[in-house]
Amino acid sequence: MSSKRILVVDNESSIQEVAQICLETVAGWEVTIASSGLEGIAAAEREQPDAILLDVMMPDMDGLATFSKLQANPATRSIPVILLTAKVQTTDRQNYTELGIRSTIAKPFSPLELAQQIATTLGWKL
Amino acid sequence: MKILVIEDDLLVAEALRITLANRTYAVEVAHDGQSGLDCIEAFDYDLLLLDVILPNLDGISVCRHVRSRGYMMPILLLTSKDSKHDRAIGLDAGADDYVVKPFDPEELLARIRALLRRGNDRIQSVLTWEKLTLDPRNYEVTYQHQLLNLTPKEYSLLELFLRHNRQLFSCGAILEHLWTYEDAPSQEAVRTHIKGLRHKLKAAGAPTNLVETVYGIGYRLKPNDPIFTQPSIAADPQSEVFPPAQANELTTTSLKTSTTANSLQFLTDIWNRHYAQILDRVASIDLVISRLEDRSLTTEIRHQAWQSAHTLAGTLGTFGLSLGSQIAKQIESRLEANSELTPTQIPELQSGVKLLRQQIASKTAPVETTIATPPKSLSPQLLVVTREPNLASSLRSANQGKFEIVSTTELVTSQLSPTPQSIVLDLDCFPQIADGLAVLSELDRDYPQIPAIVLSQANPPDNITAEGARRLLQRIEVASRGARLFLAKPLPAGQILLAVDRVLQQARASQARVTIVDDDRLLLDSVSTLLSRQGMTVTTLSDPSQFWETLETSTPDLLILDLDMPTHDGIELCRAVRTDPQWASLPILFLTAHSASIASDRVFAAGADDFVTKPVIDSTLVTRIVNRLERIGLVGKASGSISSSPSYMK
Repeated sequence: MSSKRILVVDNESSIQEVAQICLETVAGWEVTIASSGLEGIAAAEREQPDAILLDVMMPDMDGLATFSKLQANPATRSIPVILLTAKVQTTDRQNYTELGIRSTIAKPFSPLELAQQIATTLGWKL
Repeated sequence: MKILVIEDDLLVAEALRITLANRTYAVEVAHDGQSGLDCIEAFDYDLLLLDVILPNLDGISVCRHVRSRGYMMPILLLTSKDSKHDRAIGLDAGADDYVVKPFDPEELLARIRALLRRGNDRIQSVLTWEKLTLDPRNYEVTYQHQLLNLTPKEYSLLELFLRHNRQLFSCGAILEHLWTYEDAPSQEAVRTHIKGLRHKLKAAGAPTNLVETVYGIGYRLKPNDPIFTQPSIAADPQSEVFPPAQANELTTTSLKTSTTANSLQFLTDIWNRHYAQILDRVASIDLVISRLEDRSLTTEIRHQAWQSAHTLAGTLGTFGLSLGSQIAKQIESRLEANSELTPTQIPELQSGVKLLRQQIASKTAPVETTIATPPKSLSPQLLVVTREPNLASSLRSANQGKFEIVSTTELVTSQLSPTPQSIVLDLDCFPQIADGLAVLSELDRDYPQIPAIVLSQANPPDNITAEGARRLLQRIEVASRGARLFLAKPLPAGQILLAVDRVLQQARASQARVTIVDDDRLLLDSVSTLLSRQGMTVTTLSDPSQFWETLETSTPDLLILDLDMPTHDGIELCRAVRTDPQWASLPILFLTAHSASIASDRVFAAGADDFVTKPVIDSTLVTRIVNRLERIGLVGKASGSISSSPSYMK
């Protein structure tokens, strides 16, 4: 099983831990955590993860602002981004897709399904 | 469904027991408030029937205690007093409903059904699952409109599965729900009832696996959608903003209705670590309410509270509290910057916050039973369960840093976290010896790897023969429940610690050794951490070419092989192991990313004993491994003794 590296950007520490443990133990992926948009951008540049799981609602720089910075940066532009969001109305989803966001995962997510959802979105095998 | 009747009038209690038992409920009876509370702490009940006037502790106090300890099962009060005042006191204390004696059995049963129904199913009284229906009003079960003729236990089993339709029940859990402590049969009996139920379902045209066996874990209704989804307690869009308070006090059930997520220990651990932060988020919503009251609400405070509500909606749902998540979402929408917020909305917000707190409390261990300790110490943890303050302190002073000693006055076996290395259980801290023995049985069932050492007072012998017989009986009872040592008090603390040390040394010597071969280092790390936490000694290997050397140096009691690996795959290694007489009967478990049906033929043909499909789920893997080791007697609990060498070496 080839191992993937995922960057999780979320300011909520309990969600960080759940995501980390689930992705590591269920899928065996390597997980890096960032607690803010800025940290996320730095980590993405440094770690070059295979995908970024990005929370929409964060203080200071929200998920969409973070995403546009990632897009503007040639070093991070091609990393697929999955938004973690409570707001998944059809219009939002269309907007996200137009922006270039690969997919959204609804919050609250089911811990045991998270890895599968990411894998399905990105066409990875678990 | 299991009901506890707390009633001091023996005749009334017996009448209730018979009435309820005739309607397929498992009934236990306590005759005073205190012993009722003890029962509640020791066992799971789906409902309490509680007399108001009781010896020792009255019914209203029992209610308050039950609620303050976080239990949320429905409570039905029984009383001869019919005044509005008493009714109000009872309901304020946490009761859900009230029946005045002398009561009409039909009305009582209807009220019980109504309370139980609140769990999953607020609107419909008929429980359904695909083409299966169960009507609790007339005990009718149909599949595709065809009536099924079930025995009372088969009916109860089905009702249990339908009321908790996403939950996985082990045999033990089924026994706890459907039988009383005294009449609980063996787990084999549960399997027989399941078999009978399946047979009748199949005869009516249902799929054979409608009641699904999850190998090594238990039973559940097979979801039609294989992807796990959170049970939705969808709010009716036409209904009030916050559903009526009473209807929502179903926290226990929404918890138990569980979601696989709820049963995962790691989620509980994370929840406990972040509990204070979660409460802070609720407090920031409280702040909005108080600022609204004195008309000093600022945009910033409102914005913060809005963010908190948003975060809570995500967090609570992820931890399995879907109702809490919905309430948080509703609060979030009230706090949004562009919606109107006036003091008239204070009661609505207050009721929302109250429900939120109830939800959060329902997931949080009661304070008395949480073992509050920083688990960072490197010394083995010794949990001392006693009501004697001197015992714990003298053990601590005699300890000299050998153990990390944690003491508690009450032990809830389902909440042992972090798991101690050993437990000293003072039988005298239980009101009845039987209660202490029940806790021992639970420990033996749920934590066979933790050695338990029992302490009991040697009473002054009035009658030497009778006392001798009593103590022998007690020792036999204790030994049959898997305790490793029985020590008679009084005993110097130093000697107790010596005994604990000896028992732990024996346990260490017999620790299971597990070797895992997988080319995925991350998986090796995570599985290794998981198994080490269970007290196993783990050797990992990522390069299959060094397999034989590792096998010989690690001399495992169980081998875990990845199916697909470069150079040599798991099948090749497994065949090689089986050709060597020394290892011919070594238990081998496969990890595989292939679907069960494809993998099973190949791995069993190669000589494997079991396989687990990836992605690996902690609880499944641990259960399978423990099952395997149990079969070779390494973590055996039947005899309480531990074999000194693995069976394949004998």
